Amino acid sequence: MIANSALGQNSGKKDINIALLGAGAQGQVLMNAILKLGRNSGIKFRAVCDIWEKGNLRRVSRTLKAYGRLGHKGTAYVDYQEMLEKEKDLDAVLVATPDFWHGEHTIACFEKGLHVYCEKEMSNSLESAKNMVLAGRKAGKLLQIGHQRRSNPRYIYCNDNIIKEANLLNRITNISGQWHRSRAGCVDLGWPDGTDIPKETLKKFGFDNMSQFRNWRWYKGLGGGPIVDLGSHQIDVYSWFLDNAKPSSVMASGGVDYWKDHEWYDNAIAIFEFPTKKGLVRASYETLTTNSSNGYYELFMGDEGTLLISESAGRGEIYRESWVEEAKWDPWVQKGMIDLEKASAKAEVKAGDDEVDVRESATPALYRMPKSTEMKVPYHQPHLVNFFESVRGNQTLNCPGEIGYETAVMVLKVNEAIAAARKIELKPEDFEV
Amino acid sequence: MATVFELYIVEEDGDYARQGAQAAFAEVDRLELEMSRFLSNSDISRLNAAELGQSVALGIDSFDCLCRAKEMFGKTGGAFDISIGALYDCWLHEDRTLRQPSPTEIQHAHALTGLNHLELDEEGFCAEVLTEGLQFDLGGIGKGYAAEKVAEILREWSLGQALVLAGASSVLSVSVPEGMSGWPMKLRNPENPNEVLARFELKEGAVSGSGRQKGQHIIDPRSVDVGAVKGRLAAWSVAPDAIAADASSTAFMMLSDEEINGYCLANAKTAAIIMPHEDSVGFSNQTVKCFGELEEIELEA
Repeated sequence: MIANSALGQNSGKKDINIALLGAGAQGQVLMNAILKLGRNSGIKFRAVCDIWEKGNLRRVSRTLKAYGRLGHKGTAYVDYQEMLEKEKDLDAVLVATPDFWHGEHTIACFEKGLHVYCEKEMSNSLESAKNMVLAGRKAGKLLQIGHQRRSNPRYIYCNDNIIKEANLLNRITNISGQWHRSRAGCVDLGWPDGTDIPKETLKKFGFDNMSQFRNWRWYKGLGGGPIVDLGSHQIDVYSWFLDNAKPSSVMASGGVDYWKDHEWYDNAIAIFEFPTKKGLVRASYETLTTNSSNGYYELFMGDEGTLLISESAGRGEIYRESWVEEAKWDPWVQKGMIDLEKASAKAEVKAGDDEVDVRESATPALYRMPKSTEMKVPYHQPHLVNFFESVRGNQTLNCPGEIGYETAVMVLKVNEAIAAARKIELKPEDFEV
Repeated sequence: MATVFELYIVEEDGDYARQGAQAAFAEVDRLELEMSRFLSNSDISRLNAAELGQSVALGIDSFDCLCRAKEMFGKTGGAFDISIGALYDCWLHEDRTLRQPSPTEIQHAHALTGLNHLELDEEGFCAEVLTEGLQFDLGGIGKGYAAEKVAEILREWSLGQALVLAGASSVLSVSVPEGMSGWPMKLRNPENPNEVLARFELKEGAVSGSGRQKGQHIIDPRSVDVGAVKGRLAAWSVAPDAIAADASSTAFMMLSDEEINGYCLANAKTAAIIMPHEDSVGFSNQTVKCFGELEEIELEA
């Protein structure tokens, strides 16, 4: 039971009644991660709200009803105001609606005295994101933003142990990262015949038509395109691993180059400059929607070592620069912090040679994180548990609204830099609420 | 599932069919994350890592699939068993050629085999292992389960005139297109792909195949005394759904003719086509044997 109790599965904990507001693909990921906490988690779904009655709403409501024997209820609502009005015993709401609704939904929950777990991007507008933080403070309620890597034990291990405690990378000088998706994975989503949302409902909730509702991420005013959907998670980690440093500038390029019927940039490449106590860190990020080569990862490069980490299962590598003595890293191997997988290829120097053998650098040695750091629960579960335990007063939030706001600034400024076709300077006060 | 899913859909609006197929493939990807034993945080990996007495809360799909696996374990007298991994490791090399384990190794592997060691709690969608160290692999049933979920989505999209191929080994007819009497199927001799053993039309339900390469063995988990057997060269199962077809074709590789006949009689709309191994008990010159009551199956001369 060790693994379970670490995740708050002890019985006797205060029940937390929740509702899911926004039951699309991401809302369903959150729901499933919570259902897998099991019968003793004390987390009880009471209701679900989504404007797609014959799609998302039906599917999620059906699942919650199936789990009814565990105390969950899937009372279905199309209108969030009706849900907040009628559901009197809620403690918290999970907001997983399209980005442009996050502000209004989150603030409405705070006004009802509820805690909020809101999916990233916390908003498509910085003004709205700021208002969310202010409303939470006013209500005295918690706001967790869904940058779930902040609670991922593997990421925490990298930050706390590999970067901070052992300082294996030494001075970090550069970061790069990417999320590449295949063309096939970016084709517009459809919907089954006969499941259309009524036109008046679509209009009431800010959508021109059903296709726009299904593909809102591509539309200006509704979402932010791939840099926001994908890049946000990883650019957040850039800042986190640099002790929550904020960039002083961002420059970027991108465009609607392939998916001609989309509004947001279908590819984007950004460069940030992060001033840190150890010196400047230059960080690049790239997202594509036409080729999935190398998937998604973040790569932290220091003058003594490299860390490659990805949320994707199994990807986590640490490289020692070949000039760094193996003996320097040995104590961390002996402590079990890292495992040596492949020693570096050493240049052979034959006795009596009086000429320098000019060739490429020796391969760096490869180390891995110990097997015990493998992710053993659904990716979003630790972040949700951190939220629930914070509601219970047992933990503090790993990604409160203030941090989510800082990330929103970094990410939304990329789109601004592409539109302006120039480098955008950022001041520390730009990140403050 | 380390396999390729293919869909054949009859529909006038190509864009609509593509979008429906995209939704179906997304469902397969989602199920992979839930059920793959190669992903450390999947339901099955969490179950495989469970300690004795630990109740593992599962997603609805993994839970349903495990329930069906247990049902098929019962129906095949234990021949279909998703916890057979320990016995394979014990009896066979990675290429499935025979190794000679010690009696202690065999006893140990048997102690870690059998779905009777898995308790499923239908009230709580959770599972408990009654013997620590049991390892589950949905490889013999997961494809069939995913094919059924794909069919569910295609029906939601009113794209019922469709055929689902889950790898080359499982085929599910969602329904037969208008104007056709069935989806034409042919079964080939795995040792000689040019030789067609049987032809038939799949109207409803599914057909699955299992086989082995020359020199390879399979494991009969039912008794400590049996262990590695050559079994049959190939076995195909026709069943009302892809889950039953997928699981029973594995079992038909080791069940006796009488047992297969009994299985086909006990389960409606079920048939088996067997290609015996020349070393098998009761082998005759008849290349292929057919069981069950699907009249449409034509055995090639």
